[in-house]
Amino acid sequence: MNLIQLYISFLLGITLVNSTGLYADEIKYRVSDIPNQLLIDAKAVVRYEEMITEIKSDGKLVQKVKLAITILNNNGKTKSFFVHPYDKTMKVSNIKAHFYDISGAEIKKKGGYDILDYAMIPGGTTYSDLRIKGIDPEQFKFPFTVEYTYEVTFSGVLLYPGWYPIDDFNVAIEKSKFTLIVSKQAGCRYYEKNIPSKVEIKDTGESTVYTWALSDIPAFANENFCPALTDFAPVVLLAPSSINVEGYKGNIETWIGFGHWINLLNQDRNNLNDETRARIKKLTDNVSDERAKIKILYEYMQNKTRYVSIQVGIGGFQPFDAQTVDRLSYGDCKALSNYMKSILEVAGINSCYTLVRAGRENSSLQTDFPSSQFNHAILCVPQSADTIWLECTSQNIPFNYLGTFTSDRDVLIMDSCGGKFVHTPALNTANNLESRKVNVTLDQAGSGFANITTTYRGANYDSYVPILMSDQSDRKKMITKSIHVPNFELDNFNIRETKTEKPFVTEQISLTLTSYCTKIGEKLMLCLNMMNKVNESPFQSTTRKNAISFKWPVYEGDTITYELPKGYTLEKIPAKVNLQSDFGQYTTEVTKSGSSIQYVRTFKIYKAVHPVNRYDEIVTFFDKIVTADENKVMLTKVM
Amino acid sequence: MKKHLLTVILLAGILGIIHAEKAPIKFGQISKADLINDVYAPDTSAPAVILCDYGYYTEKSYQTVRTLRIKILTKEGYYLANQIFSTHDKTAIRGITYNLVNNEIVETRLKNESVFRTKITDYFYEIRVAMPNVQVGSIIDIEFTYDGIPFEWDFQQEIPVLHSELILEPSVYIKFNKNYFGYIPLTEISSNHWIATHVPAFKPEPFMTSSKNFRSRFEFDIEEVSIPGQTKIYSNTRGTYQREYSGYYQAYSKSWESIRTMLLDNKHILSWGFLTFLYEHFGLSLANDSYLNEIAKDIKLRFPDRDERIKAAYKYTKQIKWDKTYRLVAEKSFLSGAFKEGKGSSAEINLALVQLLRKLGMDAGPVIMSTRSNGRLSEAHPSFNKLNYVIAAVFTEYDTILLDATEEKCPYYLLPLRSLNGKGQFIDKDRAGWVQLSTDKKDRQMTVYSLAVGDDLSLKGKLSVLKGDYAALNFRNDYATFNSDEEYLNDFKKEKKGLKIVSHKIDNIDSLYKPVNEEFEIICNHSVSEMDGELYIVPLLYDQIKENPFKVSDRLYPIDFGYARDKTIIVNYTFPQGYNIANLPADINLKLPGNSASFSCKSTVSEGKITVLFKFNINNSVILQTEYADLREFYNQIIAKQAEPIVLKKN
Repeated sequence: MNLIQLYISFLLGITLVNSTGLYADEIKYRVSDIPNQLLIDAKAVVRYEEMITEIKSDGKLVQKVKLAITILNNNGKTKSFFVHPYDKTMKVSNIKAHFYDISGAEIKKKGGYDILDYAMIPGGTTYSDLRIKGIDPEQFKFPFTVEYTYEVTFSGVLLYPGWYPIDDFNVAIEKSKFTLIVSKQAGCRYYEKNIPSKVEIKDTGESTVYTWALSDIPAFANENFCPALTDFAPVVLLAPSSINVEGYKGNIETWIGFGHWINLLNQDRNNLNDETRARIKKLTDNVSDERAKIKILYEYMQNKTRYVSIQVGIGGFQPFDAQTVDRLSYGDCKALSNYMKSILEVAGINSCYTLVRAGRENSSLQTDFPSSQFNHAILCVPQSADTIWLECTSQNIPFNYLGTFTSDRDVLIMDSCGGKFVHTPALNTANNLESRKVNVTLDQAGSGFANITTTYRGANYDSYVPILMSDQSDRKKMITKSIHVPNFELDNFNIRETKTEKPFVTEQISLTLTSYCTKIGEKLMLCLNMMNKVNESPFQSTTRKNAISFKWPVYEGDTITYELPKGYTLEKIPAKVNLQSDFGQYTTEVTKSGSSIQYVRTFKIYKAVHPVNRYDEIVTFFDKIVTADENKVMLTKVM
Repeated sequence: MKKHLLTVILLAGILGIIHAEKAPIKFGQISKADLINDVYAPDTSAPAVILCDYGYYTEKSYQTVRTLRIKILTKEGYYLANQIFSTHDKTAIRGITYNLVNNEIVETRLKNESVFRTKITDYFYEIRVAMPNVQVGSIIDIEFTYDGIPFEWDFQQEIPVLHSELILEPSVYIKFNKNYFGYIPLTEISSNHWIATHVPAFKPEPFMTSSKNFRSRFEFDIEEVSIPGQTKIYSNTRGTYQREYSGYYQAYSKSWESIRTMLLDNKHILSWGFLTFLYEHFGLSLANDSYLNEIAKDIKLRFPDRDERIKAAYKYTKQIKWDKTYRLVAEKSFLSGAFKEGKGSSAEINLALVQLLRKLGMDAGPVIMSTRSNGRLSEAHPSFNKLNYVIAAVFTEYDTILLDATEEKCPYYLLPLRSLNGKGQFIDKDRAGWVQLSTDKKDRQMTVYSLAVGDDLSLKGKLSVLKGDYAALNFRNDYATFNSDEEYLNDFKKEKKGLKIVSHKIDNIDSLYKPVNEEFEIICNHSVSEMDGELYIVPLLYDQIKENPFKVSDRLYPIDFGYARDKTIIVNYTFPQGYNIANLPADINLKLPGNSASFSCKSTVSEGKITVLFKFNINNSVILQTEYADLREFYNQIIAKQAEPIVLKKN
């Protein structure tokens, strides 16, 4: 669903306007007029924004935008660019830019021939027919203010652009206003979130006029483990009630209706020919177990195809038909999901095309506002127990495994009754375990050897995928870089992937350690946690503005056995560490047996969002962990 | 499945080619053996291998045909089935995917549905190809035909190349010049026919200059174009296309001399396409300098001293803010316009600087060059296309001062890293010559801790950090990326466990000619640990190097630091009464062969006080790959030394 993704990103990432007259002598946008509290943490300040969106009786939408933004420093520079996509159904016109210096005096204008025009093909996409209109401010002295005015006309609207007054961290708002004029003949719904003031509604007879306004909103600072900006920034979403794209009509006021419309787009796209059907049938002829059948067919699809993104016209919403995918052996997420669905159908297995808001950041979507909020498609195969989920764009991902890109979120599945929400399985704490066994032998100089076996699951498995996909020499470099031991040589490594429905990677490495222990006179100082020290707390700031959101659970379990150098012993066994909190837990324990000592460490962070008033406790919890991970013991010579 | 080997058959094939001088491959003719083979022996984990990359320029048609044959070995190699070619619209492309099905070769032809042309500018297109029906084991043939000769030819790529061959028929239209980069030996069949075989995949390494210097490849430069009676289009490396006129003749990169003449010559007032247009401006933009009369007079009056004058001229020129574009020539023929707009390219800024320096009566001129990321200039092979930047030089009786006024936070005597790249060519009306683009300035840093060990095992006291030259430049640029001092301090505290900053003050952040000085009042918790009644302090605190920056054991290319480094850290500890020193890190003095880097640690003790002095120097900005093992061991020893604690024992 790349087109939708583009729409969303442009809607979230764009600055907006109207074309009220400019008075040359008027001093506007003096930087010194910005209230002090808006400068805190700010890289840019929206001085004035006015967006007027009119939805006409024929469903066409016209947007008039005026946006003045002061760029305070180089960090805010990206906010000064004008970038707007366009295509056959979306026209951008009357683009004008005026630039003002610190005192508010106009320094230059841009428009006409200064407007850039280029193809918009994002990374990972092979082709898209979207193009871009843009203005490069070419302004290098800060601060300055740019005022843009432009108009956008949407005909054949698939989506209504909403209002996203705060689209970035570190941007404050002085004044922002959104006026929505809806003709009474047109159907338009809206959804407002996080807006402090109430909407004003006026009836002009022919249409209804809604007005939202914001003023003096300080910048949001971006902090570690901050919730997604979309979760707390003000927003008004719009959506049409009915939709008609190249003859595909639907009422999308409900998710059921939305699902029916998607079903309509996908209708008759399961056109596999007899030859292909015969080839597929043969694959599972002798298999009776349904789950086994699905797995065979899924792996067949994975081996046969690759992901290629091509977004042309309505193709941004409608998948290539299944026979085309079979012939070309490639497709985008929609095409591959539809192809997989068609393959399963041949084997008599029912499945549901599923729309997702994908992404590791797992930002929430508005399930109570039926509208297109998705950027990806997967396939759901309902089962009486343990429903199967298939990601069809990866040649390598294990059967029925969703990973951090699509797991643990509401997704819209399409069946004959339309669309409905289902929650994808979460990676719980246990599924995320990174477990490690280490055997270290040390000599009297404090050097030695280590054999390390680590199992990576869940989010850790996902993070390991780039190593799995690399060639041998890059694997060696990547593993070497992942080890944070002072002086070592990577002697050997071996990686094994176990591709079950709960996949994991087993990594075995052997290291030669030089001076792992520090020699102090006759004694050796040994740092107990060798492999995964938490070197610094992610919470350095003394103050906190946003809630603390742990999106993925962490679970580490380490057992390290140190075979002590000949003639050395550990006289004093350090006390156990046991930290339990609402955020997670951390324990370590050292035991001695014969000539060796064993260090056992567990570390968990629970998936949760914590209110800002618990920040100090979280700081303390992490500080204690950082300290405990640094713990050392002294090995002494046996007399 | 048994792994078959590709090499045997192909080697045989190659030997045949060299002798017979016939095309190594023909589009659409593959061998079944290549389809069966499923591993590339010299690199068994390669995701794909280029079986052959063959380019042939035909004089008669004025066209180059490139035939590319790729074998997909694993799913990770699927990305090679999607190719992007930068070209102009007249390019023709065909492709076939081959698969082995039931021991039969099955062909799938590339159709228009899988070829996407995107217009980037009027003369510049991107052609994206998604080859159909690609499986593990597939062979892909792509043939690509375009006008003129290639801008460059890569013998080495990100996957292994079994055979790469280029033939350029002698041309009466184009005289070109080629520059070879890289480490892979080529077989030169003749002066216009080259072959490389079994070329390993190219892997960039950290601390390396542009990978363009090390990847094995040709860059081509047009020396001359002379096309009788016909309009032709050819391309230059910037991807722009130029239409040539009937009977037009112009010398390009024949010699450094011809490049100089071309750049400085003001005679061509008419423009013949993009390049010619620009040449005029180089000379013209240098010539039109009367707009600077007033300011030059003013500077002369105010500053009698030469260095002061340079400083003032440099500062004045910086009114033109750099727009981050790298240019050899100014787009404006009147640079006064750049002052008015307050922005400009590297050429506009530095040519304006040359003008002003000349107005001040100095022996100054432009140095044309290639920036670090653009790769090195070759002294032997003149190359116009490789030039992408210009700086200024002032000659004095004793020395040459190089100036680049693009970097806002640089003092005049510091060249930004992008301008430190081999040699540049000084050009003047009656002189020319090579100038070394290196610096004797360093990344200089001096850190002093003065701390007292408290009864609660905290350390309290002062930290001062003094940064000069490149350290100051980097710091000033870095500091500017923070939205507030608080944000900077939060970042500063990263990886500094238990650090509390009581107060912080920065001096000279905007005084570019003085070192930046930071003064902190700090409290360090968790830095002193107690074991069995003994206190342990790792003396270097937050400046300890904990990991070797050169962990990876192999190195193919030189390590390039850009400039030398000089780091001194002094740590003073005052400890409480009743403690004796049980251990001090032993003094040490390490040097790399030839003193290209050195490290020393020295401790001194006086009543109730310990001082540890660390010095770390990188004296040579380039360290050869042959010295890599030594460098790695050097760091290992530093790390081990820095881990040694001071131990205090209670009486």
